[in-house]
Amino acid sequence: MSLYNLFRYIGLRHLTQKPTRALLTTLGVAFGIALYVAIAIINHSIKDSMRESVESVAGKAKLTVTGGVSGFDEAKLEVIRTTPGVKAAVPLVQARAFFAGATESYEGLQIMGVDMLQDTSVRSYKATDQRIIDDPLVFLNQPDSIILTESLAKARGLKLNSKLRLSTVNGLREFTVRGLLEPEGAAKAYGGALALMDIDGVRMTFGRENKLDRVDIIPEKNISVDQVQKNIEERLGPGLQVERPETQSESTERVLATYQLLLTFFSLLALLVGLFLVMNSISVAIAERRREIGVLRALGATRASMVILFVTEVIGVGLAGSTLGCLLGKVLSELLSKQVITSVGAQLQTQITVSKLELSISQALFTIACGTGAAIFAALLPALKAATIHPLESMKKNSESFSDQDEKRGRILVWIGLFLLIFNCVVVARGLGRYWIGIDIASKASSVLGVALFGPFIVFVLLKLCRIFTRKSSRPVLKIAHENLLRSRRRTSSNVVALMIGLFLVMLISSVRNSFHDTLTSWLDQIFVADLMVGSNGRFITADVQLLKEEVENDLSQVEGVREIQAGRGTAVRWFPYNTKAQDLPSKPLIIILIILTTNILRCLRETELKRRLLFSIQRNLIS
Amino acid sequence: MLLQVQSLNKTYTRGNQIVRALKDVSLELKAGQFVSIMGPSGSGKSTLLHLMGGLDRPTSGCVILNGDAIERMNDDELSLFRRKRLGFIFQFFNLLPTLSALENVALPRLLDGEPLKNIEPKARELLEMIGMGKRTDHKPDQLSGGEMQRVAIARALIADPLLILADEPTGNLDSKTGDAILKLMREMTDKTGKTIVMVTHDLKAAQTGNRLIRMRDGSLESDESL
Repeated sequence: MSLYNLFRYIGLRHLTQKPTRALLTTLGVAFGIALYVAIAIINHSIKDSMRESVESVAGKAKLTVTGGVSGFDEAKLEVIRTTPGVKAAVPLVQARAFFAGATESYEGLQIMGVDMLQDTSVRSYKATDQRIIDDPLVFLNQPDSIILTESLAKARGLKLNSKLRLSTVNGLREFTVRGLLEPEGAAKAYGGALALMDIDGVRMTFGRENKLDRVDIIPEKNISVDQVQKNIEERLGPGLQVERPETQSESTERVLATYQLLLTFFSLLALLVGLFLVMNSISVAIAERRREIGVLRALGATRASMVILFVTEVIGVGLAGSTLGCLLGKVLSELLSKQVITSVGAQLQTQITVSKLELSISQALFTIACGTGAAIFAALLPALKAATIHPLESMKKNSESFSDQDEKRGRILVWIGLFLLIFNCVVVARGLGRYWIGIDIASKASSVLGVALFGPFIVFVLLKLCRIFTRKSSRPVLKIAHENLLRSRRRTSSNVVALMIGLFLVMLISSVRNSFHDTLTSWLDQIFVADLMVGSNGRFITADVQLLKEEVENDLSQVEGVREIQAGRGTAVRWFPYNTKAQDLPSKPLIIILIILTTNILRCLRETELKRRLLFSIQRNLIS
Repeated sequence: MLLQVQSLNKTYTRGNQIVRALKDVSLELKAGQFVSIMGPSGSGKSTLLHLMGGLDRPTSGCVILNGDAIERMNDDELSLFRRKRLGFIFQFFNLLPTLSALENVALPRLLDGEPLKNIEPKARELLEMIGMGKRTDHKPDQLSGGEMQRVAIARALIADPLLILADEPTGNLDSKTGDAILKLMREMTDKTGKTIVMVTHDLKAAQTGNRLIRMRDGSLESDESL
């Protein structure tokens, strides 16, 4: 009850009497929570989307054979079909296509090339008019046939028999919508940004001749799935992956986890800044209210009740900030989703389409509880300091007076700060950090702590030096402000420490960002010596591109001003342990990149632009 | 005997120097006395008051109030003791700026967990008694120095304490207002029988009480009834 009175008559009054401070602190918490919530929503939605895509595409299949981004030879299909225990094996070829004029990778769609006659044994589809296609033979005989999901068709303003143009290996090609799928079964994959075509049509149109990306398998009923998996692995040998769909989903999530952890780390840094704001706000409030605390202690308030007083003041701020943060986070997730999803897609070399970004009530309540808890935690240290304020503070004329012990403690802290800074300087100057990461971390930590402890001393020295000028100043306001800063040592110190640590956090974020940037710049400088790069739609850096025909190389050599052309191709390959037998790597190129060396004049003109564009693309993918 | 101070010593360090603020001080107080402690700066009068009020701990010796030895109490017990048994009047009034006069008066009992509606009648009665009945809802920044000290006196009385300790209660007031406050304190002793210990360096103020203790260099110099 006394705690209620403390909050009701003292804590709450201070909050309402200093609304600006309360608002700023609340906003600090809110922005931190907002970024955390936004990243959490996006991460969660991506996971859901990935899981749904894997499960939807897998359908009734119990096992799936894949060969990475490169795909594998179609001859393997027969090997799989003839493996003991395999009831049905259905092939699938996948390709990325882009609508004509698309500039962003999220404007693309996933093309699934399926065996029209066999695919329904594994995957289920539901057409909007009960039948996917009127006549499968007509569909197969017309290579421009394409089936879209209803949602995608609606989004692009397409209907049955509508024409659409997609970029392919052979340039822009026109397709005819011959069916529409309801969002059920396989059509739920990739958030509905999906199109079905005949497998041979995809191979021809998207340069995937003789290739398969996956085979979905239904085993015989009288044999265990594990046994069938073992049989297939033995017959296929190393290089191809035979796994259950759920394992595929788990391994995708594992790959995703590291990237999502990085994003969460950045969002937590923002939250840390918000919590530091809480800590500073409470520290300043305590510095200002030392006499009041002394009076309360003299009148009989216990140490514990002083801690609780400041903690309860923060509960309101934490609750309001966290609730606002959840709302802002939802909005922010909508704004950031495209960039983050594209970036994650690049990491996984697949398309991710998130149809909904949701924050459930239980997640929101959990976040509010955690945000409030974190704000309380941030306030705990200064609140504990408040509990040490002696009742005799109430008797002092100047509430900013310092005991000998305070002065001694202050001097020790300044010396510790100086020592830490010297340590940091020595480590940096001698490059000792490279010998052991522990020294490097200790050095960085000592720079922060050193600045925080030594900083206020430097500021006070500078303030005292400034006296020379303010004394001569004819402006009384300047003199009063200057003297106030010097007199309120605790408050000024708290602000300086807060500023130093806040600055450090900003520097930390920007240094991590710059580190990425520098690494990539250096990599680009070493890899790309060309002045111009020709690629298909999509982004080279995300491998979200289509093949180029080899004839393009000849065509480009005819262009005036082109001195030299280098053709290149890139692919993602799997890493196997050194003792594995010969690998069955793809025999044909997947992606062709043309690197062109032009005349020197063109080089001068284009160099900056090329790098800028590449860096822009990379930054957008890796550093959101 | 209400208060017994036995062989009280207090030393502290200032820089490299050891300062003996109190040297073997012993005294006894009866209930209903208005005791003035007077002395020049550094004589130890404030230190003695702090030790009597459990605001500080002695280096040696003991303070016994109504049979309870203060120096044996831990911090929480001491807080409770100050809340229940003692009243304080400060030189700088020390009213909380966010509370009204009435709430400031009620503060010691609010800290004890009582709801304001239970305390309000007594708080109003005390404010009436000290002539502040019409300014109960005013905040400290709307009150004069004398008015603030009146509110502080009412606050010291709200918990019905055994002993009221006043540290230079007129030190921050003009002489006319100071006289009025001293008169009020004297009336308080006469009407309610409260025991007051007041520290002052002003002889005129000290003579308001019925006992005068003089201090010099940390020791009692004289102790006389007025």
